[in-house]
Amino acid sequence: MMRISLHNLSKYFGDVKAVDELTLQIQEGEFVALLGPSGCGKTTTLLTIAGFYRPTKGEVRFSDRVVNDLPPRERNIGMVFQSYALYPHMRVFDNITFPLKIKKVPKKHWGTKATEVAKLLEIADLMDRVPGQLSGGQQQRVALARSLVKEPDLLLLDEPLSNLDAKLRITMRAELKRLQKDLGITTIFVTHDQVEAMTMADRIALLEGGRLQQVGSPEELYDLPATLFVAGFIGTPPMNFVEVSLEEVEGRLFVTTEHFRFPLSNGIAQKVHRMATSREVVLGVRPEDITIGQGKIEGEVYVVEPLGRDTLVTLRIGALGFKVLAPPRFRVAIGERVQLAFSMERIQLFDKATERSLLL
Amino acid sequence: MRRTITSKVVPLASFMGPSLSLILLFYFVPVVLTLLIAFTDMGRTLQWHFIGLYNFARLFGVGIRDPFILKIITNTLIYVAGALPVTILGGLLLSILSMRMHRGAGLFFRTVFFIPRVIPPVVWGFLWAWSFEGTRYGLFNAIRGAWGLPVVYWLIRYPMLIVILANAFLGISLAMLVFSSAIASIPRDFTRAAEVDGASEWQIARYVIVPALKWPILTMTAWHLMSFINSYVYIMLITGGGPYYATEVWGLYGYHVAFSQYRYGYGSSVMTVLVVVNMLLLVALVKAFGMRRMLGRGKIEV
Repeated sequence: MMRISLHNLSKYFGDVKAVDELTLQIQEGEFVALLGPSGCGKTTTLLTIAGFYRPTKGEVRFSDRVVNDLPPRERNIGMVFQSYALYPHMRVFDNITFPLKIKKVPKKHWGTKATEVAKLLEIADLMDRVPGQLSGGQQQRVALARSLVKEPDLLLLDEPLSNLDAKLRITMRAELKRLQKDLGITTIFVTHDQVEAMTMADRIALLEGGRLQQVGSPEELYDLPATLFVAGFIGTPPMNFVEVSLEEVEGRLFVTTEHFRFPLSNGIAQKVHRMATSREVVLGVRPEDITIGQGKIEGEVYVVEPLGRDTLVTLRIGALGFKVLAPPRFRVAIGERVQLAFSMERIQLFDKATERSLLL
Repeated sequence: MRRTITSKVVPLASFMGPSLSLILLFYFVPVVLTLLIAFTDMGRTLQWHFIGLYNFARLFGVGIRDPFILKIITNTLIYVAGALPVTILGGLLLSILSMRMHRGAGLFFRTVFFIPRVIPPVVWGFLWAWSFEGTRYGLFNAIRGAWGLPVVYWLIRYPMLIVILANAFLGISLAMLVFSSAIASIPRDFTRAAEVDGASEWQIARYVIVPALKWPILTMTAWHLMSFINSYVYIMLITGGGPYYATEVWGLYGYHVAFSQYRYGYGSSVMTVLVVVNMLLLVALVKAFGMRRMLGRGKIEV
C-alpha cells in the first residue's frame, strides 16, 4: 500500500510542456482518475509515475520517498497498458507468471499464485491458451492478472476500457471498481472518457494542456466545476453556456441578456459579489436543471430527441441554443413556444476573462 | 480482344523485358554453358572435348580421386558453421544494443557497422588483409610493435578465423539492419510491460525481443546460409585460399581450378555441383519455412 504525491511535477519535451506544475496527493488505497482530452498530459503523468520519464522539474514521491531517479523495475508497480501488451508467444499461464519468473520466485509457488489471481478474475479456464485466442475482455483480465500477481504497491491503468466494446465496458467498469475496493491497492487510471472517470474513481484529476484544472470527487467536479473547461468537459449532454451581464438593481444582482433577465438567489449573489471582477460573465446551466412548462423565460422548440430514460429537447431563445433534459415521453411539437425556468440554486457563473468559477 | 492483349503485352514487355534479358544473358546462359563445359576437358586451348562423367567421377572419387576435395569440403563446412552463427548472433546483439540505447548513439553505431556494406568489396578485403599483415606494417602488428611485442603472422596462424570474421562482419551489417527495423516495429508497451515487471535489459531481450524476431531470424539465417556457401570474393582478397588450401572453400576452389590452373572443364564441374547444392538447399529452405509464409505479410510477431 502506498501514498503517492506529485509535487510541482513538470515534464517538458523540448518546448512542449506536456505536464506543467502538477501537484496532487493520492491517499493509500485510493482510486484516482487522470482525466482529460488527448494531449492533456495524462498519459505523460502516468508514465512519469511509472518511471519511464524523468520529471523535468518537481518530484514524484512514493510514501515520502522521492523516486524521480528510480527505474521502473524497482518501483513494484503493476501496470495494465491500453494495448494490454500480452506476450503473443506465451500462454496465458506464462504471461501471468512472467513477473514471478523475473522476480525469481521459486517455480513451485507459481501455480498457486497464478490460480489465485486467475480465480479472482475468472480466467482460470483460459490458462493454456495464447493471447491470440482470447477476446478483448479476456485479454484485459489476463493483463490485470499479470499486473496483480506480484502484489504491487501501486496499480496503473492506461485507458483500461477503451479497447472494449460498449456493453463490456459497462460491465468492466463496475468490476474494476469492485476489484479495486476488494484489493485496496492504490490505483491510478488514465482516461479521456468522463463517464469512466465519474463512475469508477474516488477522485478525479482533470487535466488540460498539461495543467491541473480541478481535482475532487466526481460530485464536486459535477456540481461545482472550478473552470469553464471542467464545466464543459464533465457531463453529457454538456452544460449550456450563455454570455451574460451582471446588473445591480436596488441591491439585487440580476443576470441579463437581450432575451431574458432574472435575479440571483441570495446565496449565489453573495459569492458573486465577493469574486466578480467584471460584469461580463458566463452563465452555465446543466440540461437537467431547466424545467419546461413553467417560468418566465420563453423559448421555441427546435428539436426533440427521445432517449428512453428521458427526452432531450433543444430550445432556441432568440439566437441562443439550449439543451434541456425533460421527463420521458415528454410531448412537445417542433416550433412550439414554451416557458422555461432554471433551477436557481444550481446555476454556475464563470468570469469571462479568467474562465474561473465565481462560486468557489 | 487483340487490343487488350497488346495493351497488356506492350507495357509488360517494356517494363520486364530489359531486366529479363539481362537475367537470361548473365545468369541462365552462363549456367547452361557451365553445365556443358563441365562434361568436357576444356583447357587453355578452349577446345571442346566431351569426356562424359570423367570430371564428376574425379570430384566424387570414383576411380580417380582429387586429393584436395575432402579438405575443400571440410573448409567450406567450418567456414559456414563459423560465419553463420557469428552473423546472426552479432546482428542480434548489435541491433538490440543499438535499439535500446540512446537514439542518437544507436544510430551512430548502426551507421558504423553498416559501412562494410557500402564500401567496395576490394577495399573491405584489403582492409582486413592489411590489418592482419604478417609484417610490422600491418595494423595489429604495428600496434603490437608500439608495445614492443614481436610480429605475429596472423594470416598464417589464424587464416580461417580471419576470413570468417571478415565475411561475418558483412553479414552482421545486413542482419543488424533487418533486426533493427523489426525491433522498431515491436510496440513500446511490450518492453515497457516487461520493465515494469522488473525485467533487466538481458531479460527483456531474451523473453520479449528475440521471440518477436522469429521470422527475421529465420529469413536472415536462410539468406546467409546460402550466401556463405557461395562466398569466395573476400577470401580470395584476404588469404587467396591459403596458406596452402587452409581457407580454400568450394567456390574459391572452382575459381582457382578454372582461372589459375586453366582447367575450365574441371572448374565447371566443381561449380555445377555448387549450383545443384544451391538449388537443393533453396527447395529445402522454402519447404521448411513455407514459401507463402516467407513471402507473405506480417513477419514480425506482435
